[in-house]
Amino acid sequence: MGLRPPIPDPRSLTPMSIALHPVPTFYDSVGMILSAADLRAIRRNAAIVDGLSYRQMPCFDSSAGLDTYTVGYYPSSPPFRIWNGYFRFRSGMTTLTIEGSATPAGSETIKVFLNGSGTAAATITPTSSFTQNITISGLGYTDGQIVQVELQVQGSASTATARYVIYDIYASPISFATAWPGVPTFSGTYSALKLNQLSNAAQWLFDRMAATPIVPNLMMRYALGSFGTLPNLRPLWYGSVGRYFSNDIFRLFGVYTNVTDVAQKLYVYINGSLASTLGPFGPGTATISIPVALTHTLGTRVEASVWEETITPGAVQAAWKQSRFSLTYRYSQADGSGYPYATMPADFSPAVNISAATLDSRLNALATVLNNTKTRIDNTPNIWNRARAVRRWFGKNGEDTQGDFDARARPFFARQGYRLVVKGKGVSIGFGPITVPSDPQKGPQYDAHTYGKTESVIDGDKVDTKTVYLDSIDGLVPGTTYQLVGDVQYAEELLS
Amino acid sequence: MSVKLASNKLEWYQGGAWYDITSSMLEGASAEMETTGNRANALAFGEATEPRATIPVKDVLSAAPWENIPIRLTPTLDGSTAQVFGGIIVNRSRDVASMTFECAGWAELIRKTSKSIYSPAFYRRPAATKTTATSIEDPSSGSYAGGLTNYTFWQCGGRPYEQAGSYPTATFYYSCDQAVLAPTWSWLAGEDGWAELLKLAQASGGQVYQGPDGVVRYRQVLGVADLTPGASFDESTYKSIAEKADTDQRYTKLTCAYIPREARPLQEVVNDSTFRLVHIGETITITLEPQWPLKSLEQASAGQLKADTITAVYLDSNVVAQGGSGYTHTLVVDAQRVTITITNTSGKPFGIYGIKLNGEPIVAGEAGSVTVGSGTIVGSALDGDAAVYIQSAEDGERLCQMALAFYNLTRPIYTLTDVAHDPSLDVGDVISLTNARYGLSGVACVLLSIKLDHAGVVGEYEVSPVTGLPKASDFYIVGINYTGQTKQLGY
Repeated sequence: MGLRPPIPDPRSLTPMSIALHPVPTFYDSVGMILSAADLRAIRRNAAIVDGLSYRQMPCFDSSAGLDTYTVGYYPSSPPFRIWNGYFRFRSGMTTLTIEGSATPAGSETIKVFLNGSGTAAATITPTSSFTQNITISGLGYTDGQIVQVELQVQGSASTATARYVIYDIYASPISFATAWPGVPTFSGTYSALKLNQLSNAAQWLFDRMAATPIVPNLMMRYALGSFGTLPNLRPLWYGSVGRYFSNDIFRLFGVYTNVTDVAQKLYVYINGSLASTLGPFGPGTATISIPVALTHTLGTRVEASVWEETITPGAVQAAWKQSRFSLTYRYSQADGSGYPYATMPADFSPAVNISAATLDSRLNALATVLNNTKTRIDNTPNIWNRARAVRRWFGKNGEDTQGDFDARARPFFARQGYRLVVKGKGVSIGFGPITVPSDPQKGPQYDAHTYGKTESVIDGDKVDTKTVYLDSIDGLVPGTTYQLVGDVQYAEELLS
Repeated sequence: MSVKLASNKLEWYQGGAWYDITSSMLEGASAEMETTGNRANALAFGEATEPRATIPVKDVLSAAPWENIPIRLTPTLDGSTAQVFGGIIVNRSRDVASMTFECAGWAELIRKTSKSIYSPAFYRRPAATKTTATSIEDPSSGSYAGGLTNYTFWQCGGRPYEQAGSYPTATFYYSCDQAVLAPTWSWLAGEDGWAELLKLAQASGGQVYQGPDGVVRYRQVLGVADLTPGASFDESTYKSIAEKADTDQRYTKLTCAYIPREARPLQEVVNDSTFRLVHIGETITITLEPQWPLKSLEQASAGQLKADTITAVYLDSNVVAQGGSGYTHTLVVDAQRVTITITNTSGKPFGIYGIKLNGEPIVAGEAGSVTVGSGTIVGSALDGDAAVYIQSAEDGERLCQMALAFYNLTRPIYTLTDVAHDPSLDVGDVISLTNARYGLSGVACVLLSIKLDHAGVVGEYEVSPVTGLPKASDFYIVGINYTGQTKQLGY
């Protein structure tokens, strides 16, 4: 189906987790035999960090369907909420940045409220392109604290058809105090100093990447389309897509379900222009897999939106017969050529003759892989120097929660990490086959879908923050997609 | 086999020093030692000596302490002095005029003393690290980087043989090669230390044995085939020779089980709610054992717990402050044990209601196994629970590869009887063996056992050829310049 799941190169996966292979300390002058297994571990580690450095980034969620306060469907006058979510403060972070685009209706402003404060931390003048930096280093947040970010439109204006799209919200910088060890050059002597340096370079890169959290976006399990009633053209999702590597594309993947006899189309807009059209879809189900080439400036984000249109209206049907669009993956990912992962030197084998020149060549090739990975990380600060905020669910009319809506878009991960940090209430992890119950009177109950495997994380008594060691969940092997069910405020995976 | 020794020096270790008790020694002493009790494979990993000695002495020594007292026997043969036994006294029998000590090697001492030893957790530390004249062997040194084998030897009273001059009164000496394998995590927690050493040796392709010189050695078997024969034996230097071979440990395909271990981030590792009353001026010692071994324990500063770790309350419910006005404490953190001493310096009795400790636990992952080789003669590279020291598939593979190199053929053992004993030889040394009947002409063989008879002049040797074994010199060694050369990478 053309889907490349948003997980790192499979070389990165190990049975236990995406973790580096342990390498011992090397010692001179003790008769330490240079082990093929140790060099193989370094080679594997180089492949892992090379693969992980092409981190596939989810699109940033701004808003969803027309009943969730989205572009063109706001209240007629402020105040109202346009974005609500959380970020995790870590020591060393100084700045919270909010980027977006707006077409204001009048003189309204966007107020930024942090951590539940009733006093705005900043006021944004909505323009076609805005960036708001807020100093957070002096606000008393503690390391690991999960902080709410709420954006409200305030002021006086006729806002019903205004346009507010949030492209990005992130805290920066990512602090990582350890100095890069550099990489050695081998030439006939395999000293402990150089071997340890090579091994430490891979470890440094892994640790550096582990310092940047992997945050989810919301898997829109059921975005409601129309069944012929007005409006025929309606937004399903608004957000942004980043271009981090030169061959990144926007990938929309999902499933369309039409239980009526209308014909419908799906549109993808990138940076304000129609980039892809899919359909028309008739009754039945169809796979959605849309790749859209990205041509905007490397290292930046642009607006992305997904729309649905009924082109052949039908009779008004029962509500459950509204079409459903499962917009499951919305990611930046490599085009069909894949990311240019490093070509690894030949592997190391024990008890086989190998010349020092060949050994030099292989070890120096590993050093090059590691050095290039370091350069790549340095050159993609929009991935590695930012801890992004996670949007809370698309509540109806901007509310915190509203029944069925809570199940329609949930935080989604394709497991890459070792740990999951999650804040919320009544939270569980759901993965495996999905079952949609059916009511004889009302038909399929999409919003009541269940997962083949669930693991409770936080009980329903109070909001809490928990760390989950993902290896401890049977079946949740690296690469598995899972959703967080319940009242999730924030979640992140960490590589270690 | 009994050994009668003619000219001996007998010493025992009392009050921290060695004392000569040769004058109290009676005739009839015997000793025996061998590298391996595993007769199916002469170079099996993890095998060890169990030297024994029987020493009759005069009853005049009966008043002195004897239980587990170190003792060593050093004969002089043809002007050459070489210790033939070192160990501890494990049994004493008396009659009307004399008594007899039954002695066991240092393994017995290690076995008995190690059960009180708890170590820190060592990360990727080779099972044994090479002892040299300058290697740091004292675990109390801040620069200590020794392996668990070295740690165990030291804590049981051993001192590095290469630094014997600095430790003239050491209970025993040890000497280690650098082990090939380094478990991800290794530690001691009050187990039988000798058993743990054997597991470590088996999991790292090594052997632990005590030679007649009394030195306990960890030998990395890849080094055996590099040794230069120290003496030559042919039909003129022994009376008879017998060959035996056993297929029990000949394999073409090996499996190895492993149990991954990983350190997890800081979390609660101990939550102890035992009530303890501490009287004025009293010092109590609290020993806590976390469920998992610890990589580290959260502390306010080195050796000092955070104030909220210990819930201490006076009898009137007021909180006891940490420090001189309330209580002082010391802290010792081992992998599997945390020892806290608390001294009441407040002038009032108080109770300890709880202790909560945070740390980084080392947890076990899902066990797995790897298979290396082909064919139908399948075996296991490890016995019993030695797999605890194989903590990755990679280490399992390399152990299997190394083991196959040693186990892929049936290696004979030759028994030489009525040998004119060379006192310079030690178990583990390599000799040159010639015998026309078995087609041996200057074949390098490792000495597996030496049993002396006739006053230590004539003995029985067991030897096994090392021909065809991998040699350390075949491989690249870390730190050496090999420009323009071709070698092999190790396992």
